[in-house]
This record gives sequence, structure tokens and C-alpha cells, in this order.
Amino acid sequence: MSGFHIENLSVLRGTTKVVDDVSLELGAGELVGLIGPNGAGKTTLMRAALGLLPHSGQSSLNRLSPQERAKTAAWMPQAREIAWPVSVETLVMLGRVPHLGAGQRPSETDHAAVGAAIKAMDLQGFETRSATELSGGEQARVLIARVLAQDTSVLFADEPVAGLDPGHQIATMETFAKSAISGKSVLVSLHDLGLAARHCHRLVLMDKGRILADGAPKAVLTAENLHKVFGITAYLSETKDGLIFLPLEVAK
Amino acid sequence: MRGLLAFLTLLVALLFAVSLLIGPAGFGIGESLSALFGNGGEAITLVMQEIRLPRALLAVMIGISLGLSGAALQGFLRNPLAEPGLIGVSSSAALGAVLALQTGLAAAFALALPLAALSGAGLAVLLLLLLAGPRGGSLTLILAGIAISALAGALTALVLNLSPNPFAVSEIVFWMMGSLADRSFTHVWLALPFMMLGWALIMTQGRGLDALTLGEDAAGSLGIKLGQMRLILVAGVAASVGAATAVAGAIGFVGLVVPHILRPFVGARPSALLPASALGGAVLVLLADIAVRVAVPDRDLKLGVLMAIVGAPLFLHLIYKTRRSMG
Amino acid sequence: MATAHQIGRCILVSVGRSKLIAPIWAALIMVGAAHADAPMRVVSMNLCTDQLAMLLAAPNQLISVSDIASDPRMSPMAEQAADYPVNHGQAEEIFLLSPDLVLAGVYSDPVVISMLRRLGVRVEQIGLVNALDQVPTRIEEVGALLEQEAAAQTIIAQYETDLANIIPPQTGPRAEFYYPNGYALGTGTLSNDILTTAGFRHIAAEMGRGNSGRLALELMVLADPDLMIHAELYPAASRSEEIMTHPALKALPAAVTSSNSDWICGTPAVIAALSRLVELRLELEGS
Repeated sequence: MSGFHIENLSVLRGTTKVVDDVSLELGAGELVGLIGPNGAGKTTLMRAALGLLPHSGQSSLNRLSPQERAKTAAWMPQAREIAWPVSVETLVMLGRVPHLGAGQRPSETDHAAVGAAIKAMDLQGFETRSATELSGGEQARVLIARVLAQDTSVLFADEPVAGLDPGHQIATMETFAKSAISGKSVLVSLHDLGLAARHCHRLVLMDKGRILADGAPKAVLTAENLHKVFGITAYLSETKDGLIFLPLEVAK
Repeated sequence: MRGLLAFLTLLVALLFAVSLLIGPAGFGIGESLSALFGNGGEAITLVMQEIRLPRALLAVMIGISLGLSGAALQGFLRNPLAEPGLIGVSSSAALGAVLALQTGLAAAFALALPLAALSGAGLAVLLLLLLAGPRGGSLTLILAGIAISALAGALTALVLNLSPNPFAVSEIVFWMMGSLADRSFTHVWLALPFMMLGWALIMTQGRGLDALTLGEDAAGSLGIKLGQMRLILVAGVAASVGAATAVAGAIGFVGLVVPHILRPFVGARPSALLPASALGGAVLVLLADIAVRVAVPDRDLKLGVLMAIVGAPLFLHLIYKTRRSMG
Repeated sequence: MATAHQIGRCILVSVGRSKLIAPIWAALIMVGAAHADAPMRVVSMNLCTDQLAMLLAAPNQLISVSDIASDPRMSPMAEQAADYPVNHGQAEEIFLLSPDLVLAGVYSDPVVISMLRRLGVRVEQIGLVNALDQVPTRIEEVGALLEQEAAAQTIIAQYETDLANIIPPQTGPRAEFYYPNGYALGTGTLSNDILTTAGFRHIAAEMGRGNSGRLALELMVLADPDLMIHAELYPAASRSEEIMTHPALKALPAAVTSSNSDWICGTPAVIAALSRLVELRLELEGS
């Protein structure tokens, strides 16, 4: 099973519709950026699609049992919690939990997946270090490695690059792009519209629980959308270095 | 990890043997051991088999229950300050036990005692999860624990004060501080089934506790059924702590001290901490029970006194260390 | 023994067995005729002074006894105590009774006693009885305070006769007291005297325990007594009492009995306790 789709998904908080009748489809090999202002419902949408929230409507992932779903879709929450000072290797190995039976010890396959994930996130040499002693950026990479080790066909990430230095921000987005190329469906929510524009082939713009636009970056990041949704004007241009997007001013 | 467990098991066996050899009646080692297996004077055999053996067994059983429950609660609440004594689970179990005894239920139906203690403990854990569960930080947890402890303690004192039995009033100390003095095999058989059930339930949750290292959302996305896990842990902690408290009173700090000391040795993995804390708990309670008999041989110095002397400074240290992250 | 019992009944109360014979009781009352300057509003606030006061006082001389006096577990004269109004050992309540004499024990609440004395009430504290031969001393003491010396002498005479009829043998079965919380009595106690006079050997003497105190369960088991004396159980449960039914004790071949209210105070009621014990010893020696 590759990709995922949701139909008419709605999530209520009290009487407010935080997610309002959303339909979305991702195929294999897509890296999609989910953008929108605070409170647009991006996180809620992803959590509902994963079955972590009560919702109405259909989600292809929710038809699976919790174990199957965990083998199909991986989730990196915004709050980068690491409760205990475990080693990096232990933390990344947690991504293999859905693949392990009750009381089963990690096998060669699991160790290989963990090794590959650590390599992909440039964490060689970090294996035995305590995860809580790393810097914020390093911790983010470890958590992404966990998601990669889970070896799923779908990947959701909520603000994975917030707080990282520019180098690691770009490297992380490139890793997601590589994952997409290898066949995964990746949905990443981002505040940095520039990063989203450069690395994602498709953007989904959300506002007040609804999808306003869905398509190529240039088609989504129109002046009208930017003004209406974000209240800004911006510079958008196709250059020899790729798409460049820069917020300019608060719109009057 | 295997080395740690082997070492702890050896330590338990050693302390178990030492515990059997300590008591007001001064026998030699050879005499004690042969009496234990039934060869020797009738009185010595009685002392070894009916007084010392159940006491040592109970120390191990209670240590396992408290250590395991402490590690489980800390893993689930992701808080190193969680433990059954501090957060009111033990005092609620004591309340249940006292109610069963004073209303005569325990006399009518022997299992009523551990069941009542279990219910008290279960209610406390549920209440605690309600108040300080998912988003509750250390502050909420400790405050909830203080409230539950205070209420349970006050109600226990009330029930004992209203008892027609003049001895009951002064037994508040036993219930609040715990003691293994003068216990018998009756207590061992009463507590063991419930404890074993509790241990089994808790041990199944190792993987879920590991996954919770990443937080509830991520754990849910890894396929962990959080609601089910919560129920199983509540049942497991209630059964093991309830049974322990029913026969020995409320003993605090074991579930705090043991996981804290052993955490660095298991790489902080919650699933590995479970069996280690079980054995570590047995070590600690055996040590304490030996110490109270050596330090004050004529009196019944309550176990809780020693635990508090060891545990409270550690608790203060933990508070100091985590004070920045507390609300 | 029969003759002693017949006369003995007029001053003895043995719980659950014979009752006081009314005419002889009435005769005693006439013997204790009140003197002009005798205290006529006597309040007793201690279990043991309750007993002695009830035995010795003239009609209407004793106006209140303590609340424990009507507890059959503690008081051999529980039935008689029902005829008297009850006090709870509180200064205010006793003062309001306008007593001219208050009888208390040496361990009665010192705060209450000093308060009463400050309010001008006469309080006399009667000492404990630690041996059988101290019983007549206390009876005399209370008799003098109540100005019922004649009655006191009659009771003492009967007591000494009954006591003389009990002759302990040289060696008897070994016994120990084992009360809640593992509390065992020492040799310097009234109960020790009762036990030895009835012909038992007190294990406390073997252990050199003069004072009462906690005896470890292990040591009790190792002592291997012929007889263990426990306390009667109270309603509802208590951990303190559990030790008396510990499996290790139950596995011992010892006989078991319990002490009752006759043992507690140094009054002629101890004779009943002595008689029961002697019967028990004869049973044990017979088997």
C-alpha cells in the first residue's frame, strides 16, 4: 500500500470545526509541504489522519489496525519529547517497535534499518551518546532518524526543522526529498515558506480548517493567497538556483 | 543488562539468607539452617519456619512489588518523582485495608483484606491519572499526591479512632510506616496471588513504556494502545501495591529510590528498568528489614522510618535537580 | 474449699459464675454505718479505687465511679457499677458533683488532679498493688479514708483466710503472660504473685525479667511454656492482638487461657482468679 488519502475529514473541538471537510490525496514519491498560519489546523489534520484524534470522515490509514498503521505511517510530532537519557541508538531503535512482536528482540533487519537511518541523518559516532545531552539540532536529527528507521511508506512530520540551523534545515529537507524519491509519501508541515517552496514539488495551503490551494508552489503562493491567508507580500521568482521565496512586508 | 540482573539476583539471595539468620533468638548458622529444613528442636524449627522464613519471603515480595510499581509509574508518567508511596497509592491501600478490618469484612472473608486494599490503591492511581496524567508536570503530580495522601491518611486515622478496639487507635503508626514484624505464612499466602498478578500485568507493558519515551503522540503512532496500557498499569500497580500494603502497611520511597539508582545501569530504558527495579526493590527492603532488627532489636522500629531517612534526602535531591523543569 | 466459697461469696465477684447473695451484702452495709465526719460525697475516678470504694462505702457515700467500672472485661464488679452514676475522669465534671473526697490512682491524669486540688477538692491517690500481700494494705487505706475501718477489717480477714487456704507446691508447670503487642509481665507484678501462688512457675523469673515489657515472639516460642495466658479479644480487629494467634504460638503444645478483670486490681476479687488457676494447674498436672 503506498500513499494515503483522506475524504471529508472533520475534527470538532467543542462546537468549532478545527478541520472542516478536508479531502487530500498523496501518492508514492511525493514530498508535500503543508503550510498555513497558526491555528489553521495543520497539526490537527495530520493527527486525525493518523487516528490519534476522534474525527468524522474517512482516512485510508484508519482502516488499518494500530499495528499495521504503525508499519505504514510514521509520525514526528512537533513537541520533541525525549523523556529519559537513553542512548541515540536506543532512541532510533524505537522506530522498530511496530515491527517487533511481543517480547521479540531486535533482529539483523532492525539493526540494519537503524544503521541506515543513523547514516542518513549524519549521526555516525553518536550511537552511544545520551540523547538528552545533545544540542537541539542534533536531537531533532535523532528524532527524524527514528522516523526513518520505522521504514514506512508514509511519513508525517510536524515542523521538523523549527529551531535548526540553516545547514541542518536544508539537509533535513533534502533527506525528506530523498525519501520521497525512494517511493515514500511525505507530508511535512512548515512555517518557513521559502524552504517549503524550494524543496516541495507540491504545497497544500490551509486556513481556518479548510484547504484553500493545492498544487505547485508557484500556483499556491500567489500574491492573492499570501495577502488573504498570511497578510504579507513576498518576492517569488524562478532563478537558476531554483525557486526563491522571500516574505517582504506586512500587507496593508 | 544480563550481568546487572544476575548481580541483583545474587544479592537478593545473599540478603535473604542473612535475614533468616537475624533475630532475637541467637542461634548459630548451622543450627538455623538445619532447623529451617525441619531437623532440630521443635521450638527452633518453629521459629525458623513460622517466624523468620515468612518475614524474609514477605520482604522479597514487597520489595519486588514496590520497586516494579515505582518503575512502571515513573515510565508511564514520564516523571522520576512518581512512586506509590509519595503519590498516595500506598496510603489509599492502607485505608482500604483498615476499612476491611474494622468493619469485620476481613474476618468474614479472608480475601476481603487484599481486595479492599487493592481497590483503595486502584482508586488512587485512577484519581492521580485523572489529575496529573497526560499533560501534568511534576508540580501537578506532587500536589495531587499530597492531596490524596492527606485524605487517605486522615480517613484511616478516623476509622481507627472510631474502632471499638482500644489497640486500633495506636496502630495508625503501623499503617502509615509499615512493618514486617511478627508476620506469618497466612500473610504470605494472602498477598502472593495478587502480587504475582500485578507483576505479570506490569511486565507486559515494557515495550509501551519504552515507546512513551517519545511522548504520548509518538507512542500512539508507533501502535501502542495508550488507553489499554493505562488500564493494565493501574490494575498491575493496584494489585501489587495493594497486596503489599494489606499485609505490611504503607512503605514509601522504595519505588522512588530503586529506579533512580538503577536507571543509569540500564541505559535509562524503561523496559529494562522494570525487572531491575523489581530485584533492586527486594534488595532494599531486605536490607532495611535487616537493619531495623540489628539497630533496635527489642523494639519494632518501623520500616518506613528507615526508608524515609534514606529516601527523603534523595527526594529533595531530585527536586533540586529538576526544579528548573517544574511548573 | 466449700466453706471458703460460701463465706467468700459475700465479698467476691467472680465473673460469669456465682452472684452476690443479697442478705449478706445487706449485712455488710449495716456493718459499714456512717460516722458523722466521714466524707459523704465520694467520687472515684480510677478502676481499682472504684472496686475498693464499692466494696467499702456506706449507702449513699459513693456518688460516682469511673466509666470503666461497668466494662466486664476490666471490672469484676461491673454489674454493681451500673447502680452508680458514671464519670469520665474530667476535672470539670467531677468538680460539678461537689465531692468532698476524690479517689484516684497514682497514674491518673496529673493535670486533672492538680486542677481539682486547685479548686479546693480533696484528692487522695491510692498506689498500685504489686503483690498479694499488698491487698490488705490498700483495703485498709481506703477504709480509713471512707471512715469504714470496721468493714475494711472484715474484708481483710476473709481475704487472708481464703489466701491461706491456697498452698502452692514446690514446682509446677511453666507459664507466661503474652498480651497484645507481645507484652509480657515481669516478676514484680500482682499477676506474677497470683500465678506463683496458684502453683505455676513464671517464665519471667527464668529470664530475669523484673519489669513488664515487650517479649519477642521468637523468645516466647523458644521458652516452650506449659501454659500461655492471653487477654480476651476486643471486638473489631487489631494487629496488636494478632500476635496472640500467630501460627508459631498455635503450633506449641502449650495450654492457653486468658486473664480477666479479676487480675487487674488488687482487690479480694483476685481470689477468684487464684481458684481458677489452681483448678487449671490440677488439670494440667493430671493429664
